Amino acid sequence: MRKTKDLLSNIFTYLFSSFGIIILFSILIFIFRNGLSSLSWKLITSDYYETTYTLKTAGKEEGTFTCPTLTADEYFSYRYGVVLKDSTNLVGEEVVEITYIAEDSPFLSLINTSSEEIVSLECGFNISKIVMSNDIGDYIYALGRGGASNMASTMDTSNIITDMVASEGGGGIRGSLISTLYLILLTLIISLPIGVLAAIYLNEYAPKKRFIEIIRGMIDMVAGIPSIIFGLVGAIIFIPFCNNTIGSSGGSIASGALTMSLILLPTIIKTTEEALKVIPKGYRDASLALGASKTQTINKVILPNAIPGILTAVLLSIGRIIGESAALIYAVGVAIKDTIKINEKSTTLAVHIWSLMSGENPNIATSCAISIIILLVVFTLNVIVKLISKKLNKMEVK
Amino acid sequence: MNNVFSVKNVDLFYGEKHVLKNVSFDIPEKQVTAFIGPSGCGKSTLLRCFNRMNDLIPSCNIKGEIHFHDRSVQEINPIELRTRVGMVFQNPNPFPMSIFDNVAYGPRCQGMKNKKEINDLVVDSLKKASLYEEVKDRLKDNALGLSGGQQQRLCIARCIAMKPEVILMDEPTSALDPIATLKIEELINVLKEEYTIVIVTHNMQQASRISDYTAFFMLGEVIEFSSTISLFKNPKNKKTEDYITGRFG
Ligand SMILES: Nc1ncnc2c1ncn2[C@@H]1O[C@H](COP(=O)(O)OP(=O)(O)O)[C@@H](O)[C@H]1O
Ligand SMILES: [Mg+2]
Repeated sequence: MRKTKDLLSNIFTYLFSSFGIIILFSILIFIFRNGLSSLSWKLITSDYYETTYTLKTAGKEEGTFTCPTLTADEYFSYRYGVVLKDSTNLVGEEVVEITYIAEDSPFLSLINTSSEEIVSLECGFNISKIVMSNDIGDYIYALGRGGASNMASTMDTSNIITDMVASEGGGGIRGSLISTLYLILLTLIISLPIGVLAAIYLNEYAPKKRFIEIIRGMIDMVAGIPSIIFGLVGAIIFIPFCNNTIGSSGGSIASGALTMSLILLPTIIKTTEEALKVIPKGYRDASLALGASKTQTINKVILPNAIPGILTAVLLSIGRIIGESAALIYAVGVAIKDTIKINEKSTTLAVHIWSLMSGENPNIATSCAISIIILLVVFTLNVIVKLISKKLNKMEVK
Repeated sequence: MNNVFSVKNVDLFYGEKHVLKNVSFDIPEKQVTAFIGPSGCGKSTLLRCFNRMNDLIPSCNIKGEIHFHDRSVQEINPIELRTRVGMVFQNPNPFPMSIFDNVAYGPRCQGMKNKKEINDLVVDSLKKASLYEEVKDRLKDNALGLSGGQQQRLCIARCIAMKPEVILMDEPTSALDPIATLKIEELINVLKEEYTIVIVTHNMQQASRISDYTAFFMLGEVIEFSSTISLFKNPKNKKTEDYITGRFG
């Protein structure tokens, strides 16, 4: 009887844990399969907004170019000597990409319609619209979403390009990455000193009284509040505060940092306090018995020994800031930016995903690529935290 | 002979717990005074009264008078008192910093800045604690790398660097092996030329080997206090006799 019971509970344990593991791995596999191909150095370093040129040809084009070897989805324009291919840009829109330009193609000496400067296109440029005129002077056009085949054949019926919209780059996450880094830095600058000082006060100075225990309990409770509520607090208090002090309008990195500080303070206080608690009593006694004051004891003995714990708090905080989205939608904003200022709206990486997915063309590939970045950073941080706490535990045994 | 500390009618409570009961005796200058007695009888507690380390225990309440020379310890600033009355603990507790910084810790806390002065003081203190020869090539190494006995001598050196008058030692050898213990005992014999030493021990052989005076504690009372020779040769109290002959505790 007992044996069957044990067997049953064992089966259930294995069943449920394998179920959990399968789900976890499916999520990871989904993210990596969709995102890995988009994940590149270019994604990380390029701007979100592409550089766009409006161009025209210098004169009539009458020649014919010889066709290079093409792959299945490439199309050659004989008149202009370029190879076109269907593609999507980093934002997820359908565009036509230039993959080859013949040596004396007019595409190497186009004229910028606004500045009249000569622009030489390169492989990798995307064409979203092209307006041309033909022998009898009629205007004809082709759009990026009409496909490369259509564009190439339409181009070959024309001899002048009057208006072409070509662009390069775009869809990158450089801006959001910088914004995230600013947010991390600013949040830590605000919350770390306050958190560490609070922990020192609670652990070293505060009388062991009911009142202090109540404060401790409240700190624990704050740690469990869902972050959207902090986002609300940020929206109601910090956004107006920043509007009035540093001239932001609506959200900003600064109000985001204040909001995140509020979220992180309990973690920082608790982690630091844990670190202070495991410092051997012998160190304090020795220091005081040597005629050191309490402040000297804290500065010279307690704090240096709490550094691993404080570092843990920093790493946990960084992980939390990178992963946070709900609280930052109001506080920092959802508008993806390339130029980042502390008193302006922008997005963090996590909110960048939100922005990408909530538009008209949800961009799953880039979102997954960003997810991979976030996962890797958070995972690495967690491993480091584990290593530190392992070392701390060893110290405690000593 | 001068007395460094004089204890008069001291009662000490931890909360409701009566730990020292009407204790009175004097600690003579430049002598080794040993506290012996079964564990839990208040030896460490009295020792901690001498440098006011009991101040750190909120529930601790002291009645009676303890004088350091001619002033009550309660009137002396604890920081000043602790620079003049050093303490060595049961478990060696060097700071997790270099050997040099450990010894320099106290003087630096007192505001000593001159590099040469600090350096001389560290070397001198390590020599007095007969540790210098063993560590002179690795003063910058972490003190936690030393053996237990070396760590305890480092703690003594750290204490000496304060140039104290009195060194309190709370069972300084109970965590050490016999050889390290012997070294510390030899060291105490040398140090008593210069310092007043009060040592708690529950090893009676140790007390008889190194001390000049002995106080026998039991259940918070000082049963007998006299010169070590007379206490061990002809104890006046029956309880003392029972304890030192091993019939008790
Ligand atoms: N911080 C404290 N709070 C309450 N009681 C204590 C404290 N420290 C010691 N005691 C009690 O006081 C008594 C004397 O302790 P102690 O002086 O350490 O004894 P000894 O050093 O002779 O072994 C013991 O019964 C011990 O339990
Ligand atoms: Mg003791």
